[in-house]
Amino acid sequence: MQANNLKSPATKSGFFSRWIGGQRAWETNLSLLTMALPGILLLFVFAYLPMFGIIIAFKDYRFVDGILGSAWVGMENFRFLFGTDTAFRITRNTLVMNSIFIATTTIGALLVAILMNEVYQSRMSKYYQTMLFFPYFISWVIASYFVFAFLNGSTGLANQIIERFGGDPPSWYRTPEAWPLVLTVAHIWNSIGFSSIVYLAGILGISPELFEAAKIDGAGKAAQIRYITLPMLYPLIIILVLLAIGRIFHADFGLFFFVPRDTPMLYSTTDVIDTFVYRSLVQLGNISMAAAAGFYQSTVGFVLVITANWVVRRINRDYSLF
Amino acid sequence: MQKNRLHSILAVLLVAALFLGACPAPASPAPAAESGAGEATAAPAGDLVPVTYTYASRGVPADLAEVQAAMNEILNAKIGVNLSLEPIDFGAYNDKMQLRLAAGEECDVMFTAPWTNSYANNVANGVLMPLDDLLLEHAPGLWASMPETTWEAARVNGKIYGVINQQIFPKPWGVNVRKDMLEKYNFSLDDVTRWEDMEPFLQAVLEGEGITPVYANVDGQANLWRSQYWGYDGLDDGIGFIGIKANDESLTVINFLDTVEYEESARLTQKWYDAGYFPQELPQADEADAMFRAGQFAMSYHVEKPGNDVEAEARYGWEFVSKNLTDPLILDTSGATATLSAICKSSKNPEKAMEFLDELNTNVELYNLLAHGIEGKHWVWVDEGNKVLGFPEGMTNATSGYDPNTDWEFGNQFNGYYRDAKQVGAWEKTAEMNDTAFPSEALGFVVDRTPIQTEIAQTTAVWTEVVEPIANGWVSWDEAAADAKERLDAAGAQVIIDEVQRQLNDWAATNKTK
Repeated sequence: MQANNLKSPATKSGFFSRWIGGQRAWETNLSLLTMALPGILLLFVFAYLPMFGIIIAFKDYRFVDGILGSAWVGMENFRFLFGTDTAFRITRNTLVMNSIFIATTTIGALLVAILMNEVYQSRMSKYYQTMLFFPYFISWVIASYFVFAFLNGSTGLANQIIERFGGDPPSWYRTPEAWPLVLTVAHIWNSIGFSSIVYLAGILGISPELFEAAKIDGAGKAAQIRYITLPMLYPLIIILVLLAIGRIFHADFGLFFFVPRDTPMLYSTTDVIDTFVYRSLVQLGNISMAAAAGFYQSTVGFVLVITANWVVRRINRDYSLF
Repeated sequence: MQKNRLHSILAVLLVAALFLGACPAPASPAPAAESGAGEATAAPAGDLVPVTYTYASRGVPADLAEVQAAMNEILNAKIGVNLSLEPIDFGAYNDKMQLRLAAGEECDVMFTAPWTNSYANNVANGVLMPLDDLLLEHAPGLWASMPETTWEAARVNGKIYGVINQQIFPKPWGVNVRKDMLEKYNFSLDDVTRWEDMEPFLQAVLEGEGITPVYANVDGQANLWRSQYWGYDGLDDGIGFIGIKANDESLTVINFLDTVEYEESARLTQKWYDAGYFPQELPQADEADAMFRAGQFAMSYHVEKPGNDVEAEARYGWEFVSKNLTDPLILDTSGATATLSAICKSSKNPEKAMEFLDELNTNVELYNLLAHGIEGKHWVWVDEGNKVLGFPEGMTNATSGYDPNTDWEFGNQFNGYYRDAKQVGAWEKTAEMNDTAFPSEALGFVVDRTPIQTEIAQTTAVWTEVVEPIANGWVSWDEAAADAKERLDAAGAQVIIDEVQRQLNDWAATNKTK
């Protein structure tokens, strides 16, 4: 096959077939390749073609002159990012908040999954699961009104409770320090149902014989969880955390934009790169500055993924993504 | 066989990919009306030239298509233009237009102002068409309708980029109070001359009604700083913190945060905020309007131009008593350019767009069609001699299919019919106020933002985050002002002040010698 192929390099599929390992492989994988093709094309069109637009970040973009025709301005567009502490602040917020989210969601979801496993046989288990899963489908725009109903100054539920117990209620939408907590709670509320179901599936996949053997040997619930459930879930946990770290530089725009109601006073703790890019575009109408901020996000995100993967590979080659 | 099939699949996919790639990126948020009302009647007949007009509105009127058709009857015959109206909701107008313009989406005529879809920003971003030649060639009537000194106010770097809508030019900041509340609490506006004179009334309303007395929303300033009220010319509202004392002949650009007036306004606002006169959490603009209609506010701060009580009544459904508290009235550039119509640089037919603007500003019938709708259907004459109109029998502004109530946005308001007999004479009074207001020493000067865009971006961020909370009374002046000034300076405040001072001096050298 190989020889046959080399003799007729002019075959139309010659390039492809050599690329994927010979005529035979070509024929066997044909259906699979065809299935992958739309995805590859979409990736190319939506992820690779737009990369050309990076040059906008280095230009004084005027639509009349077009992308190529606009004047080059070097690093001028980046000045507004690095002239003040803006770049540091949005980077810090993005990283810190996403790290907190990854930690709390992982631990919370594991806990919920283990508890859920204990009631799995009961009639109520479906009810619990649905209740926990439900917030995942609620848009942040709507969720932001839930949060507002809790936290607003005059009629908010939280403040009424605090007052009832004689406390001094804070003005939540003017207290930036409170928002890492508020956002974390909101994020857990939203995502824990989804994550815990993944872990629950993992737990159900563990052979029951292991638990039975442990029980016969006199292991209690705690010991079973510690010596059987968690170790068996390890690979799953690591893969999910790694995937999350890969996206650590992409903040959840809906969460950070709508839930704090885009309140300027809260920017010191709630402004992340995604909301900043959006605001630069709609407030300044300057596509170049927004592109510069977007370019910064991509660069740091890229470095971060590579580093995270490198670290994991040093620890255990099998767990790394690439 | 198999190979052939693969090729055809590949070919199809490749074509699809090329098609996807070649299509322009999905248009940024299209205005709701664009597909509905806009195209319903916009089938270009013959060699009519299509012109779009995009403006801010409170929702999309139900009968928009009919009004558009009626306008086109005039426009088709007279200047061969087929007009599409594209109203966008006020709350979304700025964001949508900035995105559309940044993306270079095609548009013809649009509404622009210092306070939404920023004129200065649009000029700096190069998205507006210079109009000087077009005005002279295609809009002689419009050009002649205003004195050249008025046109000066729209001139940036030597070129006119927007057509000023003639209406009230100075900003008579004052109070707009519900009549029923005034009567209930037996309060008269006669002795009120300053903001603080309202305090007894506000306290009474707060205690008696249990409502927040003063209207505010996230878009309007929830504070008592209005540069003209305090005697300042803000030079560029979008920059926010710079200005000159309106009567300062030396034209010294100052930082508002350094003035005693700004401090006073911040302290007073804080007092009011703490007392509960201002809302504790700011509602969105449409939420706030709904709250006012539902009676959850007792008054608003507004430009108390002649006839404003009637406009406010149509908007909020209460009878109002208004009083201007700004004395002397100051005429500055941002007031004279408070509302403008501009032509987008992406327009394919700027000449026809200009001819449309000419008609809109000089043709009384056309202007009132846009401002009030169709005679007999949306309004009837109450007093034709005085040009007063009213709703047809049994109709209110809530049930009318067309009542935008924003005639100041569309063109020369002096061409407009009055909504109410109480308004009769308002245009003459307005014109008189325009003529008698104290002209700021910098009237006619417009900041060119191009060289300081980075600094403006930085200071705007600091302004909204740190200074506005002080101005809105959420944090105390004593605690936060020094830090705010420091952060503003770090963000390049001095660079802006120096550059604007330089531009102002250049401007004065050529314009003030007379």
